[in-house]
Amino acid sequence: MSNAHAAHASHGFDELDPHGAGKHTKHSHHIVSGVTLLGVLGILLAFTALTVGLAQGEKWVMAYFSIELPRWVNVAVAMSIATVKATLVLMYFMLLRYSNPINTIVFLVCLLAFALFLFFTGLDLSNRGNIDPVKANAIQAGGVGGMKAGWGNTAPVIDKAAVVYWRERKLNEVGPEKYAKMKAAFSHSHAAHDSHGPTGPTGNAAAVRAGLTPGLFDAAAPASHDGHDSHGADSHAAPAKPAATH
Amino acid sequence: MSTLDTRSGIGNDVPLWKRYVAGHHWRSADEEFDACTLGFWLFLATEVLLFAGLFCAYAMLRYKYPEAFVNGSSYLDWRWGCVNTAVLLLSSYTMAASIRMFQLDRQGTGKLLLAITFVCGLGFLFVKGTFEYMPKLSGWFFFLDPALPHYLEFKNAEALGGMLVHIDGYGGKAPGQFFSYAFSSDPWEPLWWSVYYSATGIHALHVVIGMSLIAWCWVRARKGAYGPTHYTMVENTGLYWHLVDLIWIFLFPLLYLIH
Repeated sequence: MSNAHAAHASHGFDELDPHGAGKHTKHSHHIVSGVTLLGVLGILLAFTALTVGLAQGEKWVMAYFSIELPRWVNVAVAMSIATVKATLVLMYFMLLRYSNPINTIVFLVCLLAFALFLFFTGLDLSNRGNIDPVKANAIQAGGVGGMKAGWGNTAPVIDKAAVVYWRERKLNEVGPEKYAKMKAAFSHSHAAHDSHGPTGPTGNAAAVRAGLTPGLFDAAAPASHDGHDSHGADSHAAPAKPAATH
Repeated sequence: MSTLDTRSGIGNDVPLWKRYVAGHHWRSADEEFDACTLGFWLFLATEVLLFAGLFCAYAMLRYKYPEAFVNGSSYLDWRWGCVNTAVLLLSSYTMAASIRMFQLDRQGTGKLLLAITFVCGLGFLFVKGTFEYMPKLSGWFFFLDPALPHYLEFKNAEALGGMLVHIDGYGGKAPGQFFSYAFSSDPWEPLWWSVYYSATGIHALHVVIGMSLIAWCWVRARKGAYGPTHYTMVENTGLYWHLVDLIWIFLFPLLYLIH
C-alpha cells in the first residue's frame, strides 16, 4: 500500500482497495483559494463587457465603412467568448479542474451527444429542399394560419399568416396614419436607437433567403405560392421596409 | 443518502456536520461524496441535453429565417441582458465562495453568501419579468421602466395608481398561438418569440428551482449541517446553480447580441 501519492489516489493498483477509496485522506477535497474565485469572476465580467463591445463594434464598423460583415462573424465571435467563459465556470466554479476526472468525461460525452444532435438535424434540414422540392415550394411565408386568434370558442380562426392577420386588424382599428406612427415607435424599440439608424433593423447582415420564402411585406411580392426568390440581395440593402406598404 | 444519528441524544451540542455518518454501504465519506458528485454530473448532463433541444431549435430556425431573428432580437434591450448576465455571474461567484466558506467552517459568511446568491436570483427574475416579459407579452409597463417614456404617447390605460401603464399595441409579442403583435417586420417573427420564450422561460424555471435549493441549503446551514467534512448538498446545489449560469452565458449573446 503506497501512500506516497495519497493526495492524488490514482497511481498503482491495490487489490484490497480496487477503487482507491481508502487512499483519500479525510481532507482531500480541494479548497479553491479566494483570490482564484475573485479572479475568475473578474475575468468573466470582463469577457461579458468584451462580447457586448464587440457586438456593438461590429455594428459600428458596418455603419462607418458601409460594409456588410458576413453573418458568421457575429456568431463566431460571440460563441468563442461564451465558450471561454463557460470553460472558466466549469473549471473553477464547478471544480472540474480539481475533481474526479470522470465528471469531466461525463460532461464531454454529453457535449458530444449535443454535437451529434445538431449535426444530424442540420444535415436533414439543409437538404430537405433537395429531397422534396415539390413540398418545399408549397411553403407560404408566415404559415397558412389555422389557429385561433385569442381564447375561447368565439375567437375567429386565422386563415393566413398570423403576422398579416394582426397587422390588418390593427390597421382597421387605428387607421394607416396612426399605424405607421406606432410602427415607427415600436419597431426599433429600447436600445436599438443607437444601433440601427432611424428605420430599425433591416436584416442586412442576415443571409439571403434561399428560394422558398418571398418577402411577405415586399411591395412586389405579396405572400403567395410562386416559390421564387423575388427578394434579392439588393432589396436587403435598401434602407428599410417602409413603415406601411399596403 | 444522509443518515444523521440523532437518536441517542449524546453529543447534541456537536454541530450536525461533525455528527454526520456516511451511508453504511460506503467505505468512507469521501467515497460517498465522489459518488454523489458523479451522480449529480450525470443529472447535469441530462439538463444540458434538455437545453440542447432548445439550442438546436434556435440554430435551425435562425439558419432558416435569419431576418426574423435579427428583427425579433432588436426588440430586446442588450443592457438588461448585460445586467442579468452580471447578476448571474456574481451569484455564481458567491455560490462558489459560500462552498469555500463551509469547507473552512466559516458558517456565518457561508450562510450570508448563500443568502446573497438567493437575492441575486431574485433580482434576475425581477428584471426578466418586470422589464422584459411583462411589456412584451401584455403591453403593460412598470412605471420605472426606462423604455416607457418613448411610448407614452400611445398610453391607453393605467392600473395600481399609475404603477402600471398600458401602451396600446406594444404587447402581443407572445409565442406561438398567443402571438398578436401588429407591427412585425418579418412573417416568421412568431417563431423567434417561441424560441425566445421557450429558452428563457425554461432557464427562468431553472433559476427558480436553483433558488429553492439554495433556500433549503440555507435553512439546513442554520442548523449547522455543513462543514469541512460534509457539504455534499451545498456542493451539488452549487453545481446546479453554475449550470444555470452556464446556460445563460450562451443564451445572452445568442438572444441579445445578434444583428
